[in-house]
This record gives sequence, structure tokens and C-alpha cells, in this order.
Amino acid sequence: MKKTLLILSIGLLASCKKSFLDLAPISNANVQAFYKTPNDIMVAVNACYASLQLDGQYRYAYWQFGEVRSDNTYNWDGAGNFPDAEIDQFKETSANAIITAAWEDTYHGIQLCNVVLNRINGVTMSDALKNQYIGEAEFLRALMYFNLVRIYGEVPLVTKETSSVSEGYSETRMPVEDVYAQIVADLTDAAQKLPVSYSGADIGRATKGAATGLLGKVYLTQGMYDKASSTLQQVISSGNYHLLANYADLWNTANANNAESLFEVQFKKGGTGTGSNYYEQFAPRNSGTAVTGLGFAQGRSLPTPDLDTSYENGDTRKDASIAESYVLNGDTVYDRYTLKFRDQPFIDGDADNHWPVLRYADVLLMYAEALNEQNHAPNQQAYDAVNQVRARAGLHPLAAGMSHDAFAQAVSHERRVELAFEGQRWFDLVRTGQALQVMNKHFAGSITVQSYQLLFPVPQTEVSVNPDGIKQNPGYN
Amino acid sequence: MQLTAFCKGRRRILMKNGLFAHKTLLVMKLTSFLLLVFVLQANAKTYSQKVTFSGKQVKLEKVFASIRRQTGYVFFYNTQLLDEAKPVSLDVKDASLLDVLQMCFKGQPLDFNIENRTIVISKKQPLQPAPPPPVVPSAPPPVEIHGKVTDVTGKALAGVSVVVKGTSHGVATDENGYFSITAMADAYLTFSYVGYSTQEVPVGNKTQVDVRLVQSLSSLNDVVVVGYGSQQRSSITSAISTVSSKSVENQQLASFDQAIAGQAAGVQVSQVTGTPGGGVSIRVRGTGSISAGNEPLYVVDGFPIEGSYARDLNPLATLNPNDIESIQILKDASSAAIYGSRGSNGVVIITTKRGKAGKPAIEFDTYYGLQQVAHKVDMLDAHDYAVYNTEARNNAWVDHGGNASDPNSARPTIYQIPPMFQNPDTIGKGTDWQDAIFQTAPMQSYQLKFSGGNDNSQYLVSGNYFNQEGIVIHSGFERYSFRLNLDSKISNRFRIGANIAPSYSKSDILPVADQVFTGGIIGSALAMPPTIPVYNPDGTFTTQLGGSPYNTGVIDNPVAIASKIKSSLSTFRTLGMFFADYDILDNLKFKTSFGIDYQEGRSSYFSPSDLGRNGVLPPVIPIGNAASSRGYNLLNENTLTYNNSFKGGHSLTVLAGFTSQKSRSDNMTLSAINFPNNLVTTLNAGQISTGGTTASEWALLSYIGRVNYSYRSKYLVTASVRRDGSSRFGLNNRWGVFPSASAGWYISKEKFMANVKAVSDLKLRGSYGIAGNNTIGDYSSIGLLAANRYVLGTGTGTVVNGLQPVTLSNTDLGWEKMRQLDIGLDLGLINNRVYLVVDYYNKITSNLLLNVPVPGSTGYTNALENIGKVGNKGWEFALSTKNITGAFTWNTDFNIAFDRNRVLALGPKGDPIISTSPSFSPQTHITQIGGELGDFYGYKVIGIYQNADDVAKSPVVAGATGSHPGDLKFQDTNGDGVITSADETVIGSNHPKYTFGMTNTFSYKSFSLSVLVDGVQGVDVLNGARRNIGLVSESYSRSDVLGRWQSPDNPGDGHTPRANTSPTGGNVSFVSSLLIEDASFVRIRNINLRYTLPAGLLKKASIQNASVYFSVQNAFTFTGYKGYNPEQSLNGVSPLTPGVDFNGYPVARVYTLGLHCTF
Repeated sequence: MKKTLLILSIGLLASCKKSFLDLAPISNANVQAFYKTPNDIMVAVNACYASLQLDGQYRYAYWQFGEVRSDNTYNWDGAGNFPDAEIDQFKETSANAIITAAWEDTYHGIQLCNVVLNRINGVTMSDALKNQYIGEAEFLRALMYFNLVRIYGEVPLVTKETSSVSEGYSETRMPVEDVYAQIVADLTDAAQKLPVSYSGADIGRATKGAATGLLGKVYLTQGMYDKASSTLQQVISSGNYHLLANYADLWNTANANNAESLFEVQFKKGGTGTGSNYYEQFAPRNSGTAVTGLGFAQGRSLPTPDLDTSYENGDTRKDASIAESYVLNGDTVYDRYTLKFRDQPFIDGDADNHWPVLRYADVLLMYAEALNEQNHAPNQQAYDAVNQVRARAGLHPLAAGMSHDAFAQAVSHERRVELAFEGQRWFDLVRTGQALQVMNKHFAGSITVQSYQLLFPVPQTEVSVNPDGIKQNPGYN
Repeated sequence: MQLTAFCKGRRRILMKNGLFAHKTLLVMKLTSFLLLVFVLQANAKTYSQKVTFSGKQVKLEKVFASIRRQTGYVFFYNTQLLDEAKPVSLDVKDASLLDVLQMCFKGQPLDFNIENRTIVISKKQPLQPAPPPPVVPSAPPPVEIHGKVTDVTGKALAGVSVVVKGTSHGVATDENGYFSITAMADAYLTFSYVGYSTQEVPVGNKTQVDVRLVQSLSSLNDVVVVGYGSQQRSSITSAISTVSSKSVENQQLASFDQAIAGQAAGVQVSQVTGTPGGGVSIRVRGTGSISAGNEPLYVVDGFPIEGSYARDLNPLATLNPNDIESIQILKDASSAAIYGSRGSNGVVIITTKRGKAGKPAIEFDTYYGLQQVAHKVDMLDAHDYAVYNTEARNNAWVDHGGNASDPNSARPTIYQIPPMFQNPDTIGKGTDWQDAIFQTAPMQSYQLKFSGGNDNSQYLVSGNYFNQEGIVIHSGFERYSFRLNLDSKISNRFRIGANIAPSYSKSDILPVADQVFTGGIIGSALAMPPTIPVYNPDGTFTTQLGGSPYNTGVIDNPVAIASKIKSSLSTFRTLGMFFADYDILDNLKFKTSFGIDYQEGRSSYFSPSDLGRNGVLPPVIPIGNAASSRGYNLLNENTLTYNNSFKGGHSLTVLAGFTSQKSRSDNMTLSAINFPNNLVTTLNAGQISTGGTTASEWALLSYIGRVNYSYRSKYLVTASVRRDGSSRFGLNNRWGVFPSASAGWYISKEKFMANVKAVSDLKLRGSYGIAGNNTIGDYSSIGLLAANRYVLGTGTGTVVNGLQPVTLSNTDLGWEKMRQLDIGLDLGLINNRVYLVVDYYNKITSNLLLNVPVPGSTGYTNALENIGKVGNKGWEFALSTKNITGAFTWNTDFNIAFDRNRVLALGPKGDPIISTSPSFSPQTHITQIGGELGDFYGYKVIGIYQNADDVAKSPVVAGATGSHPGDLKFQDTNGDGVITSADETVIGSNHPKYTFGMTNTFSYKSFSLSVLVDGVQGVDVLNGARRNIGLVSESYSRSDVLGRWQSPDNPGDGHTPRANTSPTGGNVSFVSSLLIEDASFVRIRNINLRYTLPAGLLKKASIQNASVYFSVQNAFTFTGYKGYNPEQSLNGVSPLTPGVDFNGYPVARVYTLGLHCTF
């Protein structure tokens, strides 16, 4: 018996090898064991796209900055107690949750792109595929940096995969020019590497046209009008894109990735966690389910009366963009909301509506703007571009012989109504230097917008975590 | 002496079977022989009751060894005791065991007691001074005396030693407590029993002597279960609190952990939710960890189970409290370090009852209770609500430029006074929504227990059914639990045993504590205007639709929510353990055990179409979900224990061991929508919308060692070490070593104390050690990838999978490290009638696992690091007194503990952690160096702005929604002249200044009464519910708004702001000291009155003894706190956001009537 027990206990001791403690995660892949095959890289690239759906990117934050901040839309909360209402009313502090999420989620996406670009060289695959993946990651990284630099100004420029926390503390805010230089480099390389188009299951990935079009917008934003016009010209002359005949068709979810679309953030309903909730975010508060059908009407980006009246008579885009009322319990309630994102949801907050990042009408209008600035007056190509957009809206061409300023105003107005609710307006106002004047006129004295508010504050958490590296934007504390 | 042929024959047969058993053992695997052994147990070898021994001047140990071999009786003693014993000379043949023992102990400074098959040796205790013997003229003949020995509750005590005083003549009570002895009329009988005070009774002319023994308060001979072994209390050198089964029995509760409340100094048990079967939060010596959990480790019959808090189902509620024999709480590092990387939050050791040899005992226990909500929130009635609401609308209208006297026609809709509010006198009291959701709920328990066995094998089988309906309608908990504990002796040297305890429990879970607008039952009941009835005239449920006249938003009818949501949670859990121990040498024992803790849980939820959801009116699309989980935890432990004493008074116990434990859990969740109707609520009826499975594992390998050394029982030293390897730790930090040492000086055993008669016991002890906390998550050290999804492809696209890194690897990640110093004093006075235990401790927990914010540019917002340090130091006092002894007894146990919590280091830069409690949007707590963990953080209210002048001259909240007269006036902390978020400061603390408990036990004849009072003082709670009731917009209100500011002439109570439907000045939007309420309380937690039925009455019904009891749980709570329960806390007591009450499930007051019978 003694022997048995002794053998038993020794056996037990011996049986417990070191591997007993080496337990790898079961329900998560882990970093060490991944990024080995072309498929791993594809999955990693998909993850970069998926980050666009994050709250701090296109699901929530982007349109707060691009649209709610502007004179186009407003938040239901007039008291301005909620983070999104703060952005609407220029009351935000550096603790604003949306501003914080935008920084965090955009850098998360950038890290995912950096991971792809870092790891792809260790994986054997065809050059075509490798180029495509690199191009996609570069395009997405550029898009995210472009958003960051327009929201915050100077930002840390991270282009390598972060593998330890300590690396973060050495990152400081870099000059805007450096950030733009990286964006241009990424997009230029991406435009060379990406295919012109995809088929089947790959539709929706970044294309050469998307990279080129975005590069045009980056140049335009930087005031490099000749580069902007020549770059946008490449998109136009490629013949790969054209306007849809009917503006309203743009908002039919069946027409995703249509001929007018250069790039969109894609969503899909069905309980898979990839649905969009724009329809309920933009539905009038207190409308119950009269507008949403399903889900809480949030009222977070409602058309201003000013936008409503800025459509010219006969502009077919108005009826396709704005509803004036809804019916609740048999009563007609006059409260405007946008019709652009109106897919019937599957469950609460789960609809098919994509977010249009760049479409051909935008390219045409940017092209016109660039030419007007480049030549200090509109030329025929500029007129043609704008009039193409106006014609689709059922409007007459612009009067010939406009001055630079008048044409610039006309393009600006055209962009406002053409791209309303699509997150372009605020950045357009800032780019064209009209933001202060337009917004102060819009608020008519109730709120005074100051020049420092053209940039948003850096999240307080970032300043707190790394006070040596990250300083606050002037005007905020 | 005669051994009959029958016996001889039987023995021969048994020997055969014994051999068979041995052979089988060698052949069979350990797993399968368990059953076989118990089939065989009836045939196992028996021992003689007679002793034969011959020897001169033999050491007692040697005699004992011989007795043990012949009789199978084992001796239990502290080896130091025998140092003082004289050698004995014996020559006996086939003598009775008792006779031999009495010979051995004659003239020795020692006593013995026989308990079952164990002979417990103890130091002779000084007896209570006996009255002088009566003068008897002539010696009458000896008489035969019969009687029964019970405890104060009337429970029979078996094995009590009954001795004629001054002689060696004695007997032991049988398994039913009966004895029979002959003595002279002038003699005294002494009754002694381990754990009880010795009693002396004069014989006189009695022939029937029934004795009730009172449990001794500080029984130094009590066996204290410590990690991987047991010790006598007198030899303990660390801080260990014991909770007896008595206090568990007296309280009719779903889970035993609630019964610890108020019983152990420094152990704070908070009943943070009243959910039937719901969680309890326990803190041993304060909060030491921020993110790795603060619940102690539970060790059930040797099986370590990590404590966790779950609001809806307490994992410990699967254990039947009636099965518990004792609870020990290891508080200091010296006692807890043997549990290594899991000991830092203290260890609760639970020992269940086991069978005893003797006639089978059948016990039946049942009780029935009625529960009612202990305290309702005092709300406005309909009349006062109408007045308040009217005033609030007027004030808002005035703020917007109107006049309070304007007619409705001159006002926008939201400022109009609805006709129903215009004549408040006609409204009456309205609906009491709390009455609508609360009920008087029954609670019942039935328990049947069989125990018994012979000298070789003992069993205990118990079954219990417990059913507790909730005081919130349609909620409840029920449990079926069973237990089989077996012990068997295979040979003199080899013993085996098993415990198996399956239980099934089921809870009806409702969203009781969720918030208003998200379907919370209590939140809705407190927000629903009293002017709305529960039912429409047609019998359907009402709903507050939002809009006019209340303007509150949609509030679902709480009665409808409770009635229509179908949600349940069920758990099947089996804790099974097999163990064997073998005496390799007389003083070297090997013990091995294998155990499994298997748990299976299932939950289901269905919300029908006719119940609104999240502010959306019905009909809605029905939704449902289901989840299942399965977990197992496998344990193997092997220990060698060496125990010996040496010449010169040295004695030594050495423990060495190796253990391994592995756990895995598998979880599955499924959700479905679009159910066509509400008839079938299982998910097959709907359309599955999401689902998934996950699994997780951990493993732990440990080496343990401990040495106990003592010199003449006066100088005691213990040292222990554990080396833990955990799969959870980072690769660079896989193994941790946790050492500890303690020492004790038994001053009262020193010669110089011999003359200090008042001091019966005095011991000074000190300990220092290191323990860890490994609850850091199974894979926290490994950089994980998580799935995300995107949409690509033609048409509306196809979902494609992505994988993204979500955490950074940290190969250095390790356990949290707790170092603790403890200095204690045990002092017994007047034969230990007064017993005081004092402890001072200083506990520093470092390497705290913190999810620290990291620069966002890394792509991550937080990363786990071992950083940060928290200290707890404090004093604990436990005082036990036997105030009155004799026929009427009164004992008091009192304990009080003071703990001071300090944050010593945080994060890489030491920045404060500002946290937001769930269900809040503004931040609520701050954790900063020098402060406590989770101090309340917000604006400090210093009064009310009385008039426009006051507003003009004081710092105010600026802007359109800024301060007005009647609004809260806040402290301008930074003195910049305006009230901004920079003025937020610490406004309260959820760490009590002290906690105390007191149990008074009275007994007289057949009655016993115990009263448990406990309290927590100097503690605040953030009453989050107050924001929704009475502060937010137009919702219904708590009645303290009656003290509101109404005008400069009518300023109210000075701290309640004006009524306003568009609140200004931060009245609502700020977290302020207005929401912080003093939650100090004194609670009469339990009153238990027990009556033992007269034996004569019972005999006819062949009941050996029976008692009836009446008990009140949570009888009364003295507190200024205005919510339901001052212990209420969202998410248990989460370290960073503790003490937030947000419409939690109230605790019930329970009246119980019970019956206990032994057949």
C-alpha cells in the first residue's frame, strides 16, 4: 500500500508537466499565432474596414463633426447637456465623449492598418494580392489621418505597429504638414497599387478611383489647387464613374456601390452587428416609432430651417433629402428629418444604409472648386462639372461669366444641398474659410463661434495620460 | 473476558472480506473503488471494545498507540500537553476502554473526552467553584442516576463524559444523549464535552438528572480548521474568526454567507441586493483590489472555490446552509498565505456536517416564513404631486419669461397646467405603485437528514427543498439540494471518504433593478405618477405614454413588466470529493483527494409583444434569448503530514504538499426576434438573430509547505510557504512564492502568571506574510485578437469576418501582492468568562492590476498593468462574555472593527481615476492617492440661493440654464467665482468608519433566545434613484420635496431645491452632495426564539427531541437612509464605484416559524 501511494503521488507530480500551465485562449485568436497566411492578412484587412463602423468613426462621430457642427443640422437637445448637443452648440469641452471616441477609434483603425502593413511582408502571396492589401491599408490609414487632421489639427503620426504601451508615450503631436505628407504618400502609393474595380464578393473594397478621388480632396483641403484639379481630373477622365440619373436612387440601399460611388462605409442589417442606425439617429425626437418604425427616435441631426429654405425652387434633391412632417397617432406633426438614410431596420438600430464617403458628384464639385481657385475664375470645365450636378437635380445651368467669388459661392451652395447630411458641410466651411462668418450668421448672436473652434479639442484623457507629448489646442482647457 | 463464538466467527468472515478489500484496492482504480468500499463497509473489520496492556512506567503516547490499535479509537491531543503527563504503569487484560483510560489519567493534569471514536485529551480545566457539600448525617447507599444531556436548543449531545467528581468512575452519553451512572447522594456529577462549558450537578436524592450544556465561548480545545489541516484553538498564532453552525441555523436564509454578517470582526457582509437567492458581498479587512476582485476565497470541505459576486444568483446559494458544521475565516496573511495566489482577500473555510457512529439519527427541520418589504420609500401622494408639478411648470414658465399667473392659453404646451392638476384636492391619494409591485411572500424549507454508522463507517445523507418567493411580484428562488458524506476505515492505517452534494436551483429573474425607461420595475414604480391607475377600466395594463399631461416620456407599467417578462435562471451544481488518508508511519500521514465542482447554468428570457420596451409603446416585436454555461473545476491535492514531539517539550508538525487544479467554462448564448405571437416563448418560435459560444480555461499548480513548532506549549512558531504557477500569469512571471511566518507567546502558561488568578488565558501573537490575488482574467497577459465584421460584395453585401488585436501582450503580468502584518492578543479573564481578542493589522496590496489609460495613438485606450498600491489598516476587537450562568444563562458576543483604506499609488503618473457608476452619465467617483478607493465625487451643496441678490453675489452656475433663486448653491471649491466642473470634490465615502455586531443569547429551561444586532457606521451611499424620483423633469417624487424652496419667504429645509420642470443650476444634471445620504445603520438582523418540547410529551410520538422556533430576520433597521436598504449597491461593491443605490431589490423582513425534530 505504501508503495502504491508513493508511486501514485510521484506519478501525479510527474504528470503535471509545464504544458499544464500553457493554456492558449480558446475563444480568441492571439497575436503570436496569427498573420501567417494570405487568408490571415485578408482577415486583418477586413478588420481595418470594420473599424470604420466604430462609434468614433463613421457610425456616430463623423457626422457629428461634419454635419451637426455646421449650419445644416442641429441636435434636438436645445439645452446642450449631451455630448452631441455640445458639438452642435460649440460648447464642447475636452472631456466630450464623442471627441474622445473619435481619437481612440480612429487610432485603433490606424493600428489595424499598421499591423497589416507590418505583417504582410512576412507572408508569401501573389504580388497582385499583396499590392491590393497594401493599397487598401494605405488608403484606409490615409482616410483616417485625413479625418484626424481635419478634426484636431496636429496629431501623433504613427505608421508602425505598436507592440508595447511604452511606445505610446514617445508619440507627440506632429505638424499638420507632416501628417498631410504621410496622407499624400499613402494615397499616391495606394492609387498605384489598388485595382480599378472589383467583382463579386470584393465589391466595396478601396479602389484606385477611391484613392485618387480622396487624394484630390486632400490636395484641395491643403489649398494645392493645381494638384487637386489634375488629380480629380484623373477620376473624371477615367470614365469609371458617372452620376445616377435620379438623385433619390442614391438612397435606395439596393443601389449600394453604384456608378456614382467612389467609396462608402458599408453596413448590413440582419442581427450580425454590422447594421447602421442612421435612420433612428436622424429621426425627430418625440416621434416615437412613427418615423423609425423600430427603435428610438434620437433626433441628433435634424435639418435646420436654414438648410430647408436654401434649396432652389424645383430642386428635386429637396424632396429626396428632407421630409417636412410625420404622422403620429393620426396627427400630422411638423418636424423635419432627412430621408437619405431610411432603410427599414431588422431590429433596433440595425439597417442597411451605407455611409457615402466619396461620390462622383462630390468629385465634380471639388473639381469645379479647384479650377476656380487655380485660375481665380471659373473656366468651362468648372462650369461643366457644376452644371452636370445641377442638371441631375432638375436645375438650370449656372449663369455664364461669373466672377471667382460668385462661382465659389455657387459651388459652395451646390455642395451644401447636394451633399447635405453626408458629413461634408463643416469641413467645406472650414476649408473655404467661411466657417466663422456662416456659423455666426446662422446663430444670429445666440452663440458666438470663435476661430479656435475651427478645430476640436484634443481629448482630455490624451493630455492627461501623456502631458509631455500631447498639448491641448489653443482656446480649450 | 468473554468473546462469544458468534463474535469470533463473524470476525473470521470479516477478515476474509477485509483481505478481499485489500486486494481489490490494489487492483482497482481509485475512481471506481469508492463505491465498492461503501458496499463493503458493513462487512469491514471491527475492533474489540476491550483493551489488554501491560507495562511499567510507560509513556502515555505508547499506551495510546496500543489502545488505538486494539480498539480503533483515535486520540486527539496537542502533543505539548503530554509533556506534562506522568508515565503510567498498567497491567490489564480485556478491560473496558473507559477503565483503562481512567487508569491512565488518574492523577494526571489532563482530562479526556470520548467523542464518537475519538478520544480528545485536554488540559484539566479548573472547575467552577462548587458549593460546599451538604452535611449528610449518614451515608446513604449509591443510587442509579439516569438522565439526558442536551445543548441549549435541546439537541442531544452524544459522547459527553459524565464522571462522579473526585473519582475515576465515569460513563459517556450514548448517541441520543442518555446516560446512566451510579453515585452516592453526596456526590457531584461533572459533565464535560468538547466545545462546551463543564457543568457540575449535586446528586442529592435525584435519580433523574437532565443537563443542558452551554457552548463554551472560547473553547481552547476546539478544533480550528485551517488550510490543509486543523489545529487546536490554543495553538493558533494567526487571526482566524469562527462562525458556528448555531448562528447559521438561527437565520433562515437562502445562502450561508448572509449568516456571517455581524459575527466576525473585520468581516463585512453586505446584503447589497434583496433578490431571492441573489448575491452577497463580503470584504475581509477592507477592500484591497481595484480590478481583480475583493471577494474571499471559499474552501468547501477542502475544495477552493473562487468567490464572485452575481446580483441575480449567488454562486454560494447552491450550498444548503443546513449542511454546514462550521465556518472559519482566515483573515491575516499568515493563515491565508497557504492559499498563495488566491489568499489576499481572506479565506472562508466551510466544513460540512459528517455522520457519527451510533444509532441512526433522523432529523427533520422545516420552517415557513412570510416576507415583506422592510421599508418603503416615502413618496408624494397624488394631491401633493399635483401641487408640486403645477409649481414646477410655473417656475419653468417664469424662467422662460412668463408669469406664474398666465393662463394656459398664454403658454406653450409644456408649461400648461393640465386640468387634472388644477384641483389637487379632488385627486386624493392616488395609486401606490410600490404596493402594486410588492407582495407579502412566503418562504419555506424542508430538510430531512439521516446520519449514523458504525465504528468503521459513518454516513450523513441530507435532502433539502427551499422555496423563496420574492417580495417583488413574480420573482423567486427555489432549490433542491442533497448531500452524501461518507467516511470509512479500511484498515487501522487507511481511511477513505467522499462528499457529494448535488443541487438544483431556479430563479425567476426580473429586471427589478434596471432603470426607468429601460423597463426597471422599481424604477418605473417610483417614477409612475400616482394619478395613473394600475389597470384600465377594461382590465388591461395602463402605460404612461409620455407627452401631455405628464411630459415624462414613456414609462412602462411596472406590474405589466413583472407579469409579462418570462425570465429564469437555473443552475445545477455538484461538488464532489473523494479522499483517502494513509498512515505511512505512526506520525506520518499521507492524504490525497480528488474533487470536481461541476456547474451547469441555463437562462432564458422572453419579452412579449404587448409589453413596451425602452420607451417604445406596444405592440413591439417580441424578443427572446437563452444562454447556457457549463463549467468544471478539477482538483487533486496530495499532502504529507508529519507530527511528533520530542524530549524537552519540543513538538513539531510538518506539512508538505502538491496540488493541481484546472478549470474550464463553456458558454453559449442565442437571441431571437420576430416571434409571431406570445404563445411559444422558446427560441424555436422566433428567428435567431445572434448567437455564439465561448470557452475559457485556467490551471494552477502549487507546492505547499508548513511547519508548526512549539516549545512547552508556550512558545509557538508557524512558517508556511506556497509556490503557485498559474496559466493566467505572463510568461515572464509564471510562478509566485508566498511565504508567511507567525509566532505566539502563551504568557498565561508562564510561571510568573500562575499567581495572577484573574487572567485565565493570555496569548500574544504576531504574523507577517504575503498572499496574492490571481483573479486577473484567464488570458489577460496575452495579446488577443477579437472578431469584427464588415460588409462587402454585390447588392446589399455579405458579412465578412475580420480579426483585430484588442489587447496588448504583457508577458510580465502577474498576481496582485498582499503583504500583511498582524499583531493580536487573546485574553481570558475569570476562567474565560470574559474573553477578548484584539487584532491590529496593516495590509498593503501592491502590484494592483490596473487597466490604466494609455496614449490613444497606440490604438488602445487601456492596458492591464501591475501598478498601484492600496493600504488597509485597522483594529478588531471581539469580546465574549458569559454574563449570567446557571439555570438562566446570558452570553454576549460583541465585535467591532475599524478599517482605514488608503490609496498609496496609482497608474504610471499617479493620476486620479475618475469613474462613472453604471446608470449614471456624469462621473460619480474618484480614486486618488491619499484618498480611499472610490470616494464619491461631485459638487458640494452648501445651501440654496435664497434670492436674486444671493445669486448675484455668490459663485453660480453660468449660462442659460444657470443658477436661479431656489436652485442648489454649490461650494466654489477652487475659488474662481463660478461653479464649473473644476469645483467637483470629494463628497462622501462608502468605506465605513467602523462595523460591529453583537449577539446576545439567553436561555432558561426550555427556552432560548438569541438576538443579533449589527451595524455599519460612518458610511455614505449615493442614492442614484433620487435623480429619477423628484429631481428629473416632471417625474414623480419622493416626499422630501415637500421641504423644497418655494420663495424667499418660504425657503423650505435649506437643502431641497425648487420645483422646476426645466431644471436649472445643475439641480439635476450635477452629481452633488444632495444625492449622498448617510447610510449608517444599526440593524436587528435576527431574533430567534426557540422552545424545546418536553421529552415526556415526545416519547409517545417516538420523537427523541423536538423544538419549535420563531425567528425574525431583518427585524428592524435604524437608519437615516431614505432608500430601501442602506447596504444596497449596484454591481456588488465594485471598488471604483461602490455604494450606489439605483432602485435595487429591497431586502425583506422575514417572520419564520420552524420545527426541528430528531427521531
